[in-house]
Amino acid sequence: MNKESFNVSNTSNVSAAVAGLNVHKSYGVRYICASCAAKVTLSRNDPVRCKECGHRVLYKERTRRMVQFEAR
Amino acid sequence: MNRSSEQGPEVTIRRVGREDVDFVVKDMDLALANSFRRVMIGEIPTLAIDLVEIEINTSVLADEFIAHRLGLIPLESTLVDNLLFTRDCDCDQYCDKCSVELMLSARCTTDATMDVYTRDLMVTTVSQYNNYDNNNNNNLGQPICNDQEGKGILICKLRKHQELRLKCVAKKGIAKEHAKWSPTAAMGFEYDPWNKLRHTDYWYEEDANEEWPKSANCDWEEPPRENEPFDYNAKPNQYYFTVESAGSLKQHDIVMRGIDVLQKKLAGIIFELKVLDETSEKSRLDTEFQGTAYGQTPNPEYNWN
Amino acid sequence: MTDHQQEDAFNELLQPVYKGRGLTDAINTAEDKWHLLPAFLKVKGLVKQHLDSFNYFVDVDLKKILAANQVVLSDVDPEFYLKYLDIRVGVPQRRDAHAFNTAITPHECRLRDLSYAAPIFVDIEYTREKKIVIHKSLEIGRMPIMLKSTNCVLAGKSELEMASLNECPLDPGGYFIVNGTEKVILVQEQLSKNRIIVEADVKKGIVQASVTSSTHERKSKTYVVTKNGKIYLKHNSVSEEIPIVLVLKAAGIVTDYEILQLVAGADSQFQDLFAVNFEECAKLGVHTQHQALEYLGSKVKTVRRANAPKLSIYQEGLEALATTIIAHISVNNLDFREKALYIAIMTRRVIMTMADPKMVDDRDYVGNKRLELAGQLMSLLFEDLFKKFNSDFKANIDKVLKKPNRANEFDALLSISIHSSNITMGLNRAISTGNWSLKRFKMERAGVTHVLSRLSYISALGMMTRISSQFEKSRKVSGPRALQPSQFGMLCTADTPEGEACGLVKNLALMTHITTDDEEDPVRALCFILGAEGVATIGGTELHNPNTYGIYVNGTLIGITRFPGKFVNEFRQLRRRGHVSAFISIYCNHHHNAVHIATDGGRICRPLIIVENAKSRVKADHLAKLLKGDMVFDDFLKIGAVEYLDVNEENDSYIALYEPDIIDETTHLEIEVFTVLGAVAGLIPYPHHNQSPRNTYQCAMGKQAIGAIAYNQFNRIDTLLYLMVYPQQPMVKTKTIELINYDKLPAGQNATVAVMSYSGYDIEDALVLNKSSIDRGFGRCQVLKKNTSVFKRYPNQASDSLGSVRTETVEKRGPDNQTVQTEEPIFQHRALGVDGVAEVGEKLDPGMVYVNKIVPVNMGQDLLNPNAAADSGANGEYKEQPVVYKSPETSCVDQVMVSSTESEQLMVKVLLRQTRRPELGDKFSSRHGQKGVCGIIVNQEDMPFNDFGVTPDIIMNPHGFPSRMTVGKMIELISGKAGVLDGSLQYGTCFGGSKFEDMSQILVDKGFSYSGKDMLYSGVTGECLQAYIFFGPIYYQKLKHMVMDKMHARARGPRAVLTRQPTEGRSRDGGLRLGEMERDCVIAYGASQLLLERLMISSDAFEVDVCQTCGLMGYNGWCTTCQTSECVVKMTIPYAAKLLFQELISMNIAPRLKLGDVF
Repeated sequence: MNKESFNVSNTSNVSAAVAGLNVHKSYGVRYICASCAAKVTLSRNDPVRCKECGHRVLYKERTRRMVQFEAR
Repeated sequence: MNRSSEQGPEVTIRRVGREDVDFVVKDMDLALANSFRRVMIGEIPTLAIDLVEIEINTSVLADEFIAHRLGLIPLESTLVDNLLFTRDCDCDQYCDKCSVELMLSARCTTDATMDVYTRDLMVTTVSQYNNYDNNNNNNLGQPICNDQEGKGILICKLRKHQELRLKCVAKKGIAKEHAKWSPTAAMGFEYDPWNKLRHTDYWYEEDANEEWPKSANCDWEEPPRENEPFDYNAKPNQYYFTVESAGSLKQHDIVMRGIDVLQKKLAGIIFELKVLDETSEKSRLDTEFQGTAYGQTPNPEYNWN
Repeated sequence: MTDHQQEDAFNELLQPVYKGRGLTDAINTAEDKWHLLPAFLKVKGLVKQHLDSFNYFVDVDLKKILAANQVVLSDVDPEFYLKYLDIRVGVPQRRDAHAFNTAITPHECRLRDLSYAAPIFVDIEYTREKKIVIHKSLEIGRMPIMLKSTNCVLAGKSELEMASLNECPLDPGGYFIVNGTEKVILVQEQLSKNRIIVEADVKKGIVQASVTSSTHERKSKTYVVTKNGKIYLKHNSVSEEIPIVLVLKAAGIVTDYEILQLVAGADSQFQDLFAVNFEECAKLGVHTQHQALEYLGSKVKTVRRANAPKLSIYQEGLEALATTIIAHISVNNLDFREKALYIAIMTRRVIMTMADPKMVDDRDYVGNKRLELAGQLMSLLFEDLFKKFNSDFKANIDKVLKKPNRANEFDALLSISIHSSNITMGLNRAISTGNWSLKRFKMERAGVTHVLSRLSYISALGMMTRISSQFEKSRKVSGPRALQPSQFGMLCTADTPEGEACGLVKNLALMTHITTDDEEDPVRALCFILGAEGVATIGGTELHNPNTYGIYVNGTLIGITRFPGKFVNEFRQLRRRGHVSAFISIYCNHHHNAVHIATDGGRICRPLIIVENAKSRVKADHLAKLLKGDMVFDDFLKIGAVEYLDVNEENDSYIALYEPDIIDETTHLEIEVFTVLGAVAGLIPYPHHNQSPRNTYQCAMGKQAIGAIAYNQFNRIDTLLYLMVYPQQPMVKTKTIELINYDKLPAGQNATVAVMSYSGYDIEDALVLNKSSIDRGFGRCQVLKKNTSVFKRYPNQASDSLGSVRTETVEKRGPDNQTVQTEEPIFQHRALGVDGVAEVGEKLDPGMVYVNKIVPVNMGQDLLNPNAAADSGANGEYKEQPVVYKSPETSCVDQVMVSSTESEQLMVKVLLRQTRRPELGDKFSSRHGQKGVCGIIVNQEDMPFNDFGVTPDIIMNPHGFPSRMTVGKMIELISGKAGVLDGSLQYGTCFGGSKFEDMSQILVDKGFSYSGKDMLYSGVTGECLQAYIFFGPIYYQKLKHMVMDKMHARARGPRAVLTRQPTEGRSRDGGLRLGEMERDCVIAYGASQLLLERLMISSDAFEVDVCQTCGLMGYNGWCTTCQTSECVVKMTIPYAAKLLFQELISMNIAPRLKLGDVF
């Protein structure tokens, strides 16, 4: 047990995340190779490697969801 | 031409430039002149981008960064009075009655760096207030491109394959809330160029007249005569204004609307005062009739009146 | 590599028009000689000392180490030997198993937490079953490679190539990347080795000469000390002090007369002082060398290895004198002549100091210091590891060879490769922890390396020029901390931290070079060619003749000359012609009648223009060629127009600051005066007008300023990165700013400042900020924070993984006002993508999960049933261990990087971004050590303005000026204002810069007051202000200390387990402590109930049952000691008190509570 966690007051985070249904969808997510900019689709347990150039650093592609910002 | 100050202030327009106007106001109180200045800087409603919905941004600049840049772009606001403030509108977030939508969509396909300018911002709201005969020039929300090439302001640069696609929502607001709603750039203001009123003490090493540069407005007023006695009762009377527009409103619109806003504010105060008078009159009557301290604090100890 | 490495950055210099001057413009040597400085930096770079040192280590030192440890023999098999033939370091390589491209870039190492290291290859020759085998290119380990050194892939790359490698072209290099973190080996300052230092303690009347001998094998310190007026030799390996005459006798100088001559010469005062020493030796009955050595041998502390042969006392003495006393002078064929001379000279120095106390040496004098750089430290470390490697290897082969009949042929190659990870690990561990532990010197040094601070470009650069002293910080001696006059031009006079490390941590000046070791033998030979008389034939009379000068090479006497002036001059001429290395220094010490030649590494030196016959040797046509690019800095060295002087040789010179100052005696001319300052202090405009501590403060603050960090700043994933949204180059620049490219990576903005009082929220250095300026982007900054999660693999095949998104059913009103039930992610998982990691660009609110990591419940190896464990682990149960976003302000996901570590584990790095606008309490500072926090933010219309309508961005209280005396800031304002009105950038270079008169003239021409003061109007009333206001642009830096990172408050919250008191610190949501002194105040005030509440009720109140009979605590109303419930009462005490009582009880101390009535 964590030394500082006696009488945990802030329960909003971890325990609350247990609520809700767990849906397993493991279709691949698209990544971009840092070296050749190729789009790589990886699924769970795939080794992290660009399929075009073998580079080991991949970046996640930007979300398709719209993000709203205040222009201030 | 003889006018008396009873007739109200007198305005002399000295010069009208492309974006600025230079005028002199006579017969006005300093407090009023300054209120006028303050209102022109801070309280004339204009239109500016307030919400940015980013769909794609693969440029080097962060989303908030671009949103902030977009916010500062001056938008054509001559017809802004037709819009409501969003807080007064009955819609959830925004609607056509209180906002103008703009779209920006740019993608670089060439090897050279692509520059995205304000002219690439497209107004997508079809507004009934727009005057389409006038060649799109004062469409509400149209970005201002006053430079020679008509490109406007550089928003972002894109490299090959980088893309920027976003929707902007421009809202009505005043500069008190955020400087992007300010219609003015610089607000020149001066009075008493000869310092006859001695409101300031020029700092000097040997001779103030030698060391301090003369204001251009000195030509408009009589220089103090030598050994002229200091009139400690004199009040400033003549004010030199230079109003420079940031682009969203024409300079004359700024001045006119400034007067308008100031008038409305004053009217509001007069109205409130009247209401106050009436209520206090009423409460006085109430007190007399009912003998209770209506409108007073319940604890009479604290009532020092 | 140097030729075109920095070409791009310096391309500007080679343009036909530079700084408004064309090639055809008249060259004025007095003004244009400063162009040598950029030329110097082009060749040397700002971190050249690190690179030079590392290159020297890889190219030269490594081979020397190999030569010193060349052969490995076996104790068991006399036939066996292994000989190293050559050693090489390759280019950095990746270690991925299946990589087809083995080259690796530094950036990839940073991203993937790898080490940027290259294999070390050796060629070996060894015996395999009586055959001699040669094996080439055997990898014995991996060497971390310094960025931009010769072995680095970045060496000699152009700006474009650097960009394609994701590297910033302005990055100085000179650091290592170990496990993904950038590590700098700080330059270490220490007292020079193998030189005599004489010190005196006036109070105790002790004079001592000491020498720290340092060779590859051993380090030892020998003293010659006075005790009761007599002189002794002291050494760690000798148990007591040995009379000096005895030592000299042991060293083969038998007659007393010769000893007297060698030590005192013909000087009768010295002879008198020394004469007493003969008595003691005679009393001990020591007359011959043999007797002396036996006496010495009897005092030697012998530490022998187990199997070494036992030596006689005589042999002990012989060995001690030959190898341990003054170890750096080697003794061949038992010829102690050189060592005897050395001891005699040490003794003479002691006697000289006894006669005249002024003859002591100054430990703090920069000429007596040596700087130890990355290369030297690496070489010490590598040699230690290599020796360990060899001994491990030897132990290993001995074990194998011991077996009488081996089944198969023994190949030493197999056992050598077993140990190769020791070298790799040793080097990596030392650099990443900074603990340099060398077994053979019993040296243990911590804090040698530091993480390269990437807070700003300047902080990184400042770190590369930093020098840390070996001196303990705790000692209260002012000497080592004081500014030494000899620092001039070598170490920055302003850049040192405040507080405990003040004066101990220093920085290099702009134009310095640190030498590497040079060959000593050719220099010795040259000395004899130049007419030196060898040391073997001379005696004391010749040596100490007032007209002869001893010639010392690296502190050791090698000969004498009767014409020191001529000797030194000729030597210098040879050096200027390039026959001797430019970094060898020679100078005369007339107090000691000595000519010193230094070839050792670690001396600081700097280039100066040579002046001959009162004429500068750098002529106008040279400068013209330099500007045209026909000449580079090294050509100036070659033609003998410029030379390097170290601190000692500077003492032999007469250096003119400016060309008109040259007189007949002048020997050298400064290239540029502002090079007294370093890179960090060079940012300050007009520093020569400031009070000096202000410049020091700015040096500390410049490193905290938020700005642009590097051209690759958006590609970097650092733990914490602060970036300014709109950085500007300063209106008032300095030449240093251009040279170090601060104008390309600035950290600050030009704010229009009004120096006046406003609103009262500006006391104590607080600043008033203009709200509209902030709205328009003033002081806006981005904060990028990294979170790394590594997904471990466990022994039972199970591994950490990513969980999926949890959803809940939400009722929503559809477009046609009908309620539709949709599946939506729960709030915590709203930012997650299908892979369980937050989507890029998504906003994160507090409480949201951004890496949904899951950990197998069963991850240990089940010994009884390994298969079952594998089953349950691999596809069995997991528990969630999500990474939760905690900061109260929202962040955006900037980047998500997925990669694998060296051990093929999945690694996810999430970079979170916040954009912050300045708020109340954020810290700002100008470049003059004037920091302040934002006290109030005021609307533009309320701000004062001038008749053009210009409002200030910042209002600064004028009380900041009188006591701080930062006149430079005022001049910066005037120059900046002139620059703004004129449309030009002005210079505030140290000891130069734009002249105040010129600036005032511009102001007057543009219709402003020459003083920089303006008439302002009050924004609130519109009336003009009674006073004139000092008004203009000043470069302001936003410092990293922001309120958002610091503010903290709590009402209730977590408590520590042990004491049940509130936790401590913001990160743990801790309470605010009412400390001892605060408590004292409350006691003094008599607020007992407040005290009770703060210290117990709001903290750790605890109800205990106390037995009034025995005074101990029971429970549940029952006293276990008295076995009764009578007299047990409940009371409230702090839990910590209860804990203390129990701890005391556990130690057999019974604290008994005696209860009484309150009223």
